[in-house]
Amino acid sequence: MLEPLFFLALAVLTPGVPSLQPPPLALHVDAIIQPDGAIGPGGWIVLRNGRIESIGPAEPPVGCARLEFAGGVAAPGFVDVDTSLGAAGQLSEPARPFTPEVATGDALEPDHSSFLAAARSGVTTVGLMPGGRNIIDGRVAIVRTADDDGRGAQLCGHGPLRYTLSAQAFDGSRVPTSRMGALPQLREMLAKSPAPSSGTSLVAADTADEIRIVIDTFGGAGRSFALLHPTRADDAIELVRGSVSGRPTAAVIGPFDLDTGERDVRVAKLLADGGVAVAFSGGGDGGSLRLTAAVATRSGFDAKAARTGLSLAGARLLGIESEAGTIEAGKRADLVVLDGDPLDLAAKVKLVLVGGAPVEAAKESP
Amino acid sequence: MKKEARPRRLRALAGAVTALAAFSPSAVAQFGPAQRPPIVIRGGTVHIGDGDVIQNGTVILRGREIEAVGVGLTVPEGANVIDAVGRHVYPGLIDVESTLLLDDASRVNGEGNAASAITDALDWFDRHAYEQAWAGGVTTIGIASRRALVDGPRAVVKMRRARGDDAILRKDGDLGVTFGLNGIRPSMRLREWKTLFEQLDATKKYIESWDEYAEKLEEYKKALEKSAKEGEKVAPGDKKEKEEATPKPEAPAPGDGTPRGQGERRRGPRPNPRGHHDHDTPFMRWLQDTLGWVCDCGLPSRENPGHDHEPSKLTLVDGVSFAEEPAKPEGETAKDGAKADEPKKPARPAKDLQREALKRALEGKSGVNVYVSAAADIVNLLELLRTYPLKATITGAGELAQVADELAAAGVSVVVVQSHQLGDDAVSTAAKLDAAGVSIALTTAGHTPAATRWLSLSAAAAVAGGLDKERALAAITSRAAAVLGVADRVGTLAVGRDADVVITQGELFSSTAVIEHVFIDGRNVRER
Repeated sequence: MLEPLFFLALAVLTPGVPSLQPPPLALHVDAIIQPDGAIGPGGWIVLRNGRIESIGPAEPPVGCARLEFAGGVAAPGFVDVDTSLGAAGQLSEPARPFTPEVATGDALEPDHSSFLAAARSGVTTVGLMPGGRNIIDGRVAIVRTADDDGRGAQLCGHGPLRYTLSAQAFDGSRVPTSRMGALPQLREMLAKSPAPSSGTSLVAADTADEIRIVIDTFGGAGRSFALLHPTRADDAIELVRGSVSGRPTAAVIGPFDLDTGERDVRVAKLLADGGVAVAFSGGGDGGSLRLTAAVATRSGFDAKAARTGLSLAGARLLGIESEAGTIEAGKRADLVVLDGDPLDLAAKVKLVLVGGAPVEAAKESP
Repeated sequence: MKKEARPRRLRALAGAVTALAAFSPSAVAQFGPAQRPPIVIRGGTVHIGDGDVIQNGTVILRGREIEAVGVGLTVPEGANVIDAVGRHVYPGLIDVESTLLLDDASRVNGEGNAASAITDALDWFDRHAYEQAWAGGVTTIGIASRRALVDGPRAVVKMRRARGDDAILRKDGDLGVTFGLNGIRPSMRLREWKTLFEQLDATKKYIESWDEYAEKLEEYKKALEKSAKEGEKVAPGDKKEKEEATPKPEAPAPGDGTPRGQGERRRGPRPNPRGHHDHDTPFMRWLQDTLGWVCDCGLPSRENPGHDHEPSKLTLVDGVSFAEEPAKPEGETAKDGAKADEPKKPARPAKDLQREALKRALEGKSGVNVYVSAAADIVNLLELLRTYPLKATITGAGELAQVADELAAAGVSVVVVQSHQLGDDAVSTAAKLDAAGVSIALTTAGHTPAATRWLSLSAAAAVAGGLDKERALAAITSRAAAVLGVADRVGTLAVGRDADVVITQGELFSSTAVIEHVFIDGRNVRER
């Protein structure tokens, strides 16, 4: 009985939606972060229907809402791969060691306040990372930190699988209890299942030896893989650089703060110098993310690579580089406007757009 | 032909001498630093540290000092010129509270009290610590012990890789008072306040007891003089005492009570061998000179070779040993059968080093730095300062901004433990305090020594919080020096100050800045 009413309501409301579309937005900034991380010339960025329409020095078309930022620097929205933002409960299902069917998106609480904090600090996309208690731990949820109204978070897909080969995935209470027992099963699974079409396998490995095993196992199976927090990768750097069977495409590093040891910071630079794309992680907090990149940069990490480490590297890991990670025409309008280089901690966030929708500004919060 | 040979040889000799002088500045410098050639840093953007900036400026360093700062200065002859065009020149940075050089045991565990000396816990051989400081452009650090509610004085150390006095700018800095020490009792806030008040109160009593003693001693001396004038027969023991007691003008100096000549001590048998403290034995000298032990009479061996110590007279009051009043006449005098109306010598109160430290603070001779972050505690503290006239500064984070106006009104300087969580309200604490008119310095106050290296990034976070850049610089240079009480030596690029200079490519607060040179006392310790 109610069904026709519902469809009627839908029919009435639907035509109204396009008329509610906001006018295209044109932002003028003095510098734009290029896809390669360089700070390029500024200009007008025109955004329409939540996407970037054009970038350039030309005057924007008539009818645009204009926003000009003197001294503004536009950066792609930050992407933080490794977070547990807005997760209801723990992000591992530790009864079984292999849980590829689990998706952390099921644990998402979109209205959690941490998303707004993340969005305000410039983080527009986060990965909701499985907890790391299992050898195969499930899929990373890809979450935009604000929906089209600039409010709650929005689940926008399931990303790559997370694997864990460090000690935390093994305990005596379930089989396999050891790496030796786990690897044959893992190899069999990798051989049987098709490689994912996009993104890459995320593998947590800490020590040099664990990194060696990951390179052997995943490289041997012809998989593209990235290392999660390889804190002791400096011991295995020759292996990472010169592996025959395959090498990690990327690594997730961080968060760093002022107390982080020199060795941990050096690992980031060594990996980058070895051709591994480094994606920084700040646990979902844009401030921590920028601090991580700043500490790395001060320690000699290349500034361009550090800027891509804030967004593009993470977007690639999640397999959404066609949508996010850079400021290019056609991509989603995930943007951060700051009054300086995002690597400089002194630069303040002036505007954050998630999918073209401005995030409700914090009360003049940096 | 032969005529010419001599002058030529002489000339060659002269040349060799000149060459020797030119090529061995480092060798010469060890004996006389002033003989090193001056260093001229030319053409850079010179940030003085007090807010001023000089474009295309020149800084001249000679020996351990800054000789000149300005525009268009003449380059002295034989100077080493560093081209700083396109570079920024800063005073060496100062981290008000660092744990660099502090040995691990003292940093993690350790115990302290008002009488402890943080310099005892420094590892001067920690090469890594110096390198970390230089990598961050930090040339001076403050080191405080935070192991007890009331802890010993803060030390200020130059990161110049030298030991002891050569590197220590100050070791009698502010006493440290620390609230909310985790896991260290008293852990509850009320308990901490109670303890602090009790300690201050006990110190007040301690000061009073010494004042009273000084007064009584004076009376006693006058009485002795009076009795001598009256021409009474004086016992030999009393005569001795009188002779030695009267010529000393400074009455409260402890030990004036029973000064005994060495000769006398050796001649006579010891009246009370058990209680007798002989200060001049080799063992006692070792105790005093090596361990810094001070007998409760408070005197080193030279001034008081020994005295009779009578434990039965001591009583413990609130953990402090005080001599019981009234005093009995001492030793031989009593035995000789003194008359009842003879003047009585007052008993000297026991020396207490912890009380002495707090006494200095209460008398305004040293400051007190209070580590406190909760707004309520700060209000309490300001209240306490009305009762006890302490020269206090505050180190803290958290809720400081909430009491910014109160702090400004009280004129208390604040050292902000800078938050680096961008987006967090705490980032703007320094800016808010500054806007309210509070004099601020910034510190990493790192839990680990590594943090000091990132002092400039930490200050950059304060800039993100709204603090003006040059003020943020002042907060880690001139203001930091002022809080540490070493502003006459470091913290600004001014004539006569120590030649501590940092040269960077890119602005100091930028993450992409490269710290190219660090000079400490005119020596280049880092070059990139």
